[in-house]
Amino acid sequence: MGLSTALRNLSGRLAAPAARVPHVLLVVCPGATAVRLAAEVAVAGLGGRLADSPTEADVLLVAGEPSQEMRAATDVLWGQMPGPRVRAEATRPQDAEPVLRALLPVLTGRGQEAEATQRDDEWGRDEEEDGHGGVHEDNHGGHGGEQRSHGGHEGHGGHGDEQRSHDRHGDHGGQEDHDGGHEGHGGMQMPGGLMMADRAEDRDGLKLDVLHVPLGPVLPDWPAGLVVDTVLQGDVVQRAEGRVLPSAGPCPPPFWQNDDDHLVAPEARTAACHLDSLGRLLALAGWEDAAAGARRLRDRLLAGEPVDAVRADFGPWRRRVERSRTLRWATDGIGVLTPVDAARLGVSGPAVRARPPHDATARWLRWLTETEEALAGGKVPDGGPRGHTAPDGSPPSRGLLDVAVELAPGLELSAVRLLVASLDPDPDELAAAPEPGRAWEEAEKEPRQSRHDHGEHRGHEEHRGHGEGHGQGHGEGGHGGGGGER
Amino acid sequence: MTVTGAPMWAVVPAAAVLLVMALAAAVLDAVFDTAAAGGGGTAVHGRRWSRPLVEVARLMRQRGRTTVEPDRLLWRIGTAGPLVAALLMAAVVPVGGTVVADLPVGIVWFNAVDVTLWAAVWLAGWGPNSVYPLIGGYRFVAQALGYELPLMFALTAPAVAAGSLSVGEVVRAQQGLWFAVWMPVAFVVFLGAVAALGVWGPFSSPVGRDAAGGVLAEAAGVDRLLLLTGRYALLAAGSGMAVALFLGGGAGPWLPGWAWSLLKTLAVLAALVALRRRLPVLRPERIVRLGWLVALPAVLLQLLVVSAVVVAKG
Repeated sequence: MGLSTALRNLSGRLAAPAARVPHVLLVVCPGATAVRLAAEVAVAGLGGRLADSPTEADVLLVAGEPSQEMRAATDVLWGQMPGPRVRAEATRPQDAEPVLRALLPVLTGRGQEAEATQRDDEWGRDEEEDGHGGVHEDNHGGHGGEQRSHGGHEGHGGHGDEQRSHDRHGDHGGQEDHDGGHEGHGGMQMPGGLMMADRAEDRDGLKLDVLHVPLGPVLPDWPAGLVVDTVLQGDVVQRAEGRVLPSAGPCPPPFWQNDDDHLVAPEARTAACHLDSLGRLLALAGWEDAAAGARRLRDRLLAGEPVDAVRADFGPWRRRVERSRTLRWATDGIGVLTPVDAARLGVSGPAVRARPPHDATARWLRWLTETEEALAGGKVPDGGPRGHTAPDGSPPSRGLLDVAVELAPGLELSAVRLLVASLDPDPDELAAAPEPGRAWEEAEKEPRQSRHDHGEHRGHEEHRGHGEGHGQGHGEGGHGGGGGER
Repeated sequence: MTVTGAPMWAVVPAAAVLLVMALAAAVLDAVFDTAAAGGGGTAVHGRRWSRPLVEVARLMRQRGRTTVEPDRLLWRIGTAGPLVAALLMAAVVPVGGTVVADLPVGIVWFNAVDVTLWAAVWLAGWGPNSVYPLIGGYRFVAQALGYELPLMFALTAPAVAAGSLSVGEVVRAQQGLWFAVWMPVAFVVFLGAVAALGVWGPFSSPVGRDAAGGVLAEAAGVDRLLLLTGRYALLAAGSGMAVALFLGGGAGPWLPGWAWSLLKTLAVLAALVALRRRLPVLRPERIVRLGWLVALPAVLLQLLVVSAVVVAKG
């Protein structure tokens, strides 16, 4: 008892400084680019940082109005946040900063303790309590927090839960037998309620576990609401299909193409768009400094600073990035998009104008060049930063997404992330395109025929799937909570 | 300068020194962090140095993470592994003329401990039963294949020159001329390997943002604190070892030996921390290529030169 009081006091004393550097998990809805940009500025301004994973985060900020699926995904992420934790939505750019500012006191407030004790999910019991034996045991048994939670968003529907809650605390050396011959016969219940993964030949002729892992809709430096359903072996992507979650309600015109906003000239806007893409690519390449530089330049352009002033600072930054041999080395050879393929898939814009060998390096070099041209006042080619509308009427990002999906198989996860970032399809364009609404309704009725369909319901596209780690998972992340949801 | 073993109780201050150095590394990292300077003009410049302390408070207050069907024992081992390995390494690093464990095979000890990291980081990725940490674990093992052999030969060079595997003997053999001066390749390769041990800078793909934090993706609260501390502590222990093996240990004018050891260690640490700001992350496949096609031949040549010099001098 004395110990727990002491710990509580300590926790109280730690609270005040702890909120000084909030780690914010930013969930961006398709169509909410303006809110995202405002939120990124706000997070940096408050001294916070963007979290890599929900486990790291203590603030969940939803930018834009989430659709049903986006909300479901957000709830999963919320469930994965350890706490103390707070969440809020910002639907308008000007809301981002005040909303975030208002959240921080809540993070340190007394209410956190109450929330923690009432928490009705997998966190209802944490590791420390395990260690201390039975003090809290009946408490949890009482309201069955654990069972329900796992039924809820891991989606192994109820049965076997009782069993597994015991398993977890017992000796689990034996049950997780990954090399025994149980590979995934349909319907077999494993101790965690998880299915064993199937196995198949990989590119080196080895038999490896096959994992179904959805990338997105929420990942660091990832297009908002984009989901790429992958089949992974090890960390090599074997198959990929891409889709964009529909936006809630009518989508505004894509932020980067919106010419109605007279505050910022189209040239500056295009430059800012390329800088945004570059920032994402550089952050994924692990070069935080250069990425932060790109974002600062972007924000200055969007804040309406004179283009000439920004251009003066762009020069040195560009030279630094351009000269980096290691960066080139990191992106060389990824995602070669030949002009023939580009024409076939209806790609236009900088991705096509990139020089041979048409790889990711060529594409970011092209962005640098075109940013310079735009800042110098050159006319924006094609009318938009990502190119012009394809002959069949689909927006330029459609082609970019198709390229990403087509080139992904055979690449490692890190290369796939760089590939997507080097093409940077804009979900705003896809969520705003006229056909998705229709495709969404159709997909409800019939199974997906092509990757162009938008709305297929696969439950929570959560950030990750546990269980897949051991190669026995069945992509609960991807396939899981659907059952609970419908 | 002669190096002698310390009594048993020296373990405690040695661990404290290592943790202070780890904190120093974290503070340096925060101070160098221009990315934290904010975007829209409302930059938070002040008190950047205190960020690591704030982060400690934050993580102490955060709950620990459980996942579905974790391999709990192995996860714990993996979480504690890096810090324990750093402490074990620090045991053979002399500070001035004192070392916790004056092993006759100190260099082999260091090497043996750094190999246990393969298991530790892998287990930290394996334990949570989750896809991104597992990928992080794979990445670490892959890049370890790239850096381990060059590291071994980089460790061999000073040992050959000193004719002993004892770290104290190596320090004594540098009277007059630091090994960094005439075996620069081994020195650079060793520093690179230290960064790799700390999953740092170009070697940080196992905790990469592209994999949602990789090995760190499911670690929360004190677990995360342990892993992050372990990372910085490995950098600190590795820097200390670099000072002893290549930079003359505690040798220097005016100041006492222990002060020189700590100052040099801080300098090496600062260089390693700054490295992160300058370079993008290298993918493991590139690191393996770099390790086997560039670093390994280069360090072998270095070893040949060192051996030839030792033989020539008799």
